[in-house]
Amino acid sequence: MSFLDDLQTLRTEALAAFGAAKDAAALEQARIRFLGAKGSLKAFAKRMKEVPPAEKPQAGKQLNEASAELEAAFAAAQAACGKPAAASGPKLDVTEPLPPEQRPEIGRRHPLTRTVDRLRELLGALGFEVVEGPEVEDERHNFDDLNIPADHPSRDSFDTFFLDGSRALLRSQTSTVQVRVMESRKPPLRVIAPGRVYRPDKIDATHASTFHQIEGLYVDRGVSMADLRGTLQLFVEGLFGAGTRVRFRPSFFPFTEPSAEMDASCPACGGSGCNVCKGTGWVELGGCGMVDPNVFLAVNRARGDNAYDPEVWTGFAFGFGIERMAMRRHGIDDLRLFLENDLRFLRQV
Amino acid sequence: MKLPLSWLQEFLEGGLTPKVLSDACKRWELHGSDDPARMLATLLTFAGFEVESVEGSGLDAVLDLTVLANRPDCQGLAGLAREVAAILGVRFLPPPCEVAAAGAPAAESAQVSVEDAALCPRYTARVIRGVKVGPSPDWLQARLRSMGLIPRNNIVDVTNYVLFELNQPLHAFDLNKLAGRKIVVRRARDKEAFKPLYGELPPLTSETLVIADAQRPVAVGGIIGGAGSEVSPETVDILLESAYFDPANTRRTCRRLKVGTDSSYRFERGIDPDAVAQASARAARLIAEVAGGAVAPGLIDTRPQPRAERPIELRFARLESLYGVRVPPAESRRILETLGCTVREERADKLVVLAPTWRRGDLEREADLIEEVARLYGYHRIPAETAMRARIPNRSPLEIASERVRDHCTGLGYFECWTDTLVDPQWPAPPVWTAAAPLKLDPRSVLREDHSALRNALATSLLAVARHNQDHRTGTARLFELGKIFLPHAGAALEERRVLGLYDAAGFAPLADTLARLSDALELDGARLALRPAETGPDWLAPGSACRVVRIRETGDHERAENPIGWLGLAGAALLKAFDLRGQPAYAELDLEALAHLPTGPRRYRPLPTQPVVVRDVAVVVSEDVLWHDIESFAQAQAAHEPLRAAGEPPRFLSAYRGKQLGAGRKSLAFSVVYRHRERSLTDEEVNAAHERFVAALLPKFNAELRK
Repeated sequence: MSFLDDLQTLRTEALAAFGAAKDAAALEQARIRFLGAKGSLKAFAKRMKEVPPAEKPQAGKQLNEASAELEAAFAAAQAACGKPAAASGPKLDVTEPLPPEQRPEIGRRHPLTRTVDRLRELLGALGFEVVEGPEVEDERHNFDDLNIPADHPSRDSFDTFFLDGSRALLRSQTSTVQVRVMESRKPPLRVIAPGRVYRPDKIDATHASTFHQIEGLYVDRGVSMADLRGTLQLFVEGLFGAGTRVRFRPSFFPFTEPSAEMDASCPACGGSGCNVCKGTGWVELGGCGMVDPNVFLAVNRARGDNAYDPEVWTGFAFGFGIERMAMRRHGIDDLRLFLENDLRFLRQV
Repeated sequence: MKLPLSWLQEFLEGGLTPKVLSDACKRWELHGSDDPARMLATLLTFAGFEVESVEGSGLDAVLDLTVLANRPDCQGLAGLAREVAAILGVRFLPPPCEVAAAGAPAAESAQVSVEDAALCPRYTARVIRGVKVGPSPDWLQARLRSMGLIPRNNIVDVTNYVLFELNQPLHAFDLNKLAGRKIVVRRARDKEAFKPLYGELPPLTSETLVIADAQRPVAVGGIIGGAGSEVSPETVDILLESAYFDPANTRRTCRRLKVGTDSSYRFERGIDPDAVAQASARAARLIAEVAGGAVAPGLIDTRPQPRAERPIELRFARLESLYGVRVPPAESRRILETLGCTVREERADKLVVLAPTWRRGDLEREADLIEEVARLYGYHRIPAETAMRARIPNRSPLEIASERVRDHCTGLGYFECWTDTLVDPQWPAPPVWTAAAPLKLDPRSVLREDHSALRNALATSLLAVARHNQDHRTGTARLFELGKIFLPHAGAALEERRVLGLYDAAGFAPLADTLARLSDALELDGARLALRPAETGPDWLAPGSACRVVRIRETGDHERAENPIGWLGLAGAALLKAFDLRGQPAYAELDLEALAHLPTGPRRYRPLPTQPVVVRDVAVVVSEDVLWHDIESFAQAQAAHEPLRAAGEPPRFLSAYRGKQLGAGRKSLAFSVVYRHRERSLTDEEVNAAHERFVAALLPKFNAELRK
């Protein structure tokens, strides 16, 4: 049978079917059979390939005309049915999820990465550049140049792991990077150094021997504690929201003078007292202070110049514990989870 | 450090009244309270002495506070009282130290010689004759108990009392048990015999400073007394030692002998050498009061002269510049004077100040004075105003690459891990980057044996995480980490290298794809990452699967593989066994710094083609030895000679099939070849012809047959 003959047969059948349809369902069935994606008209379109080239133009024209005619007939029949033009499609269960094999898992950054990222973002907005320092250090960078002399009780807070067969040690605070960066760059400086530190502490839910800190250092002419407070104020507002306040309590670190502990008003209760802040209204962020002149002098000795003349340059430094921040933010109660990397934990936070 | 309020207020003129406390709270903008103990706790915390707990309330309360290493003077009640007096703005009342003397001078009853003045710059001895040793009076016992001590006898109790009151450790010897009635302060002889009052000590060395009589050591200086010369119920005459011992040596000795006492704690931190005599007088006065006896006139003193004065300048401009607050000069002066400083000179621009003897250890420089003024004028006054200029910080290539790597890996379903750098030395050490064994910690430092080596590859850390997750059935482990490893180099410094490790329980193909797509994620310019089979694979990867990850430069149609950036393969059997891992996980480790320094650049636009492509599929059966890459390269090379091949459109891999009907060692590779003409649409005939030319060249080249 020829293409054109078959096409004619199709037209007749389809028109009859549309005319005979008693209701919307029957009409829909007819539509699917003749005009649907797998319907007769589509099949005809595929048959165009077999049509000899000479006859193609005519066949194509006929096909188009048939298509138009049938569409119009359907629309008319539909209107006569009194049902709206939008055909009722398949009924979906809108709550049905995608099957697991079509739903690949999306990974996540580690919560400590995300905490460091937040800090980098906020402090980056204040112009602080990220620098890194070595984790294996020597006594000079970890103690002496940070104004922590040998045989002095202030070393007790900074107990360290030593390497076998040498005097090298694992750094106990990221403050070592202050010294390193001042040795290799001239002032002014504005840097942060997130990093891993090690202390031979007993390991339990709130203490680990491998953990992470972030150090900040700003050295310029005429830097004061007002700069420190102002910078930290901007930082905590970014971290905890507008209206957050910062306060200082005097403290002692060998490498800062004056030294302070800094607190922020509790992000959970705004300062009225709750679980998170243990009723005090304040959460501890970390330590800070003005760079002790002895640190500048030690740096100058190492550099062999007077690049950090304490009469010309002053600076502030601060340090936060990263785990503590992440624990407070997500309500995590066990520090050991961070280095265990149980996927159930990583998926949660 | 315990601070009983009832004892504290004896040192304060007017005592601790609620008014004085609440006025101070107001000045410092702190919350008041009904309870004086709580107010004092808040004030002390905001002066730098964090109060950990308050037991009781009102004036019966005992505060427990932390004294930091820079305030050794506050290891005693009088020192803390001075601090409280400064905070409250009241007068400090020192305890009475005058003592009536009687009888023959002390020098007739005892002798002191110091052989090592560096380790013991000052030694004083007082003689008290005719004491009656017995229990202390109730008030003294109660005071000691409030500090956590157990009363022993009236003599020892007084020495402990003065230790806590004036921060001066003292020791009482039974004078008649000191051979020759002599005290010799000297270094011990190696292994010299010494039995301490309690416990046991390792042998003494010549580094140890001892207090000896004419025959043998009777005490380790500043640390612990010896058995045989101590006060007993039969003691009648006392030699009371009040001395200053070198802090550093005291600390070293304590560490070596593994001992620590209330005395050594204070000597380590440094006591006031200029107050030694006064403390001796105070103790003698108390002993006479509670145990009777006559205090011999005169103090045997090896260095009675006070230390030379060291004036310190405080420039007002410098104070304001550092503190950020303008302090009226009169106020700076007042604050320093309430701390016990003496103002030598007052000028328009500065003060010249002498630190009090008990603060000489920590008030040495202008910065120290600035801290005192700032702290006591109040940190709450510091404005939150920064003059820091706006600046956009630099981002290092490592930072940028790390971000891109993280985006890429998390997007593809990997979870980021952070694992400990300290690993178990019993673990296998796959030589990913070095054949040298991981560096170990000094055994004396080691807390836990399974955390005592510095890893030299990331692989084992991630395999351990995989094992943990396998044990807890947490799902298919797809992990990555950007971590540090430590590579020892003979004769050179230790290298700390940052690497990217990926562990994929889903297997080789998914991980290889992840790496293949990393080139885009890193925005590499003029190069991409590729995998090349490792001819002699590292044995920590399963043979046959091991590949080097290399950088391929795309300069025209010529490829040059550079040094491997890393490795990829199925984890080797030995490693899987060591970690008890099931399945066939794949693992890759790459040098992150090398990745970060590959040239990158923004993606280049090329005009969109105006003509549609025509795609022709082909499936060829080849030997297993033939790599997809070989076919791909051939097709690319061939494209140069074929005008109908789309420029820059490589063949598209479809599938690989291996089955019985193909025979052993054979596989079928199916792929599409893409044809496009720049200006016009193509006809079927010309595409067919071009495709036949391609196939005709392909088959003989790879000894292939078309798949039926």
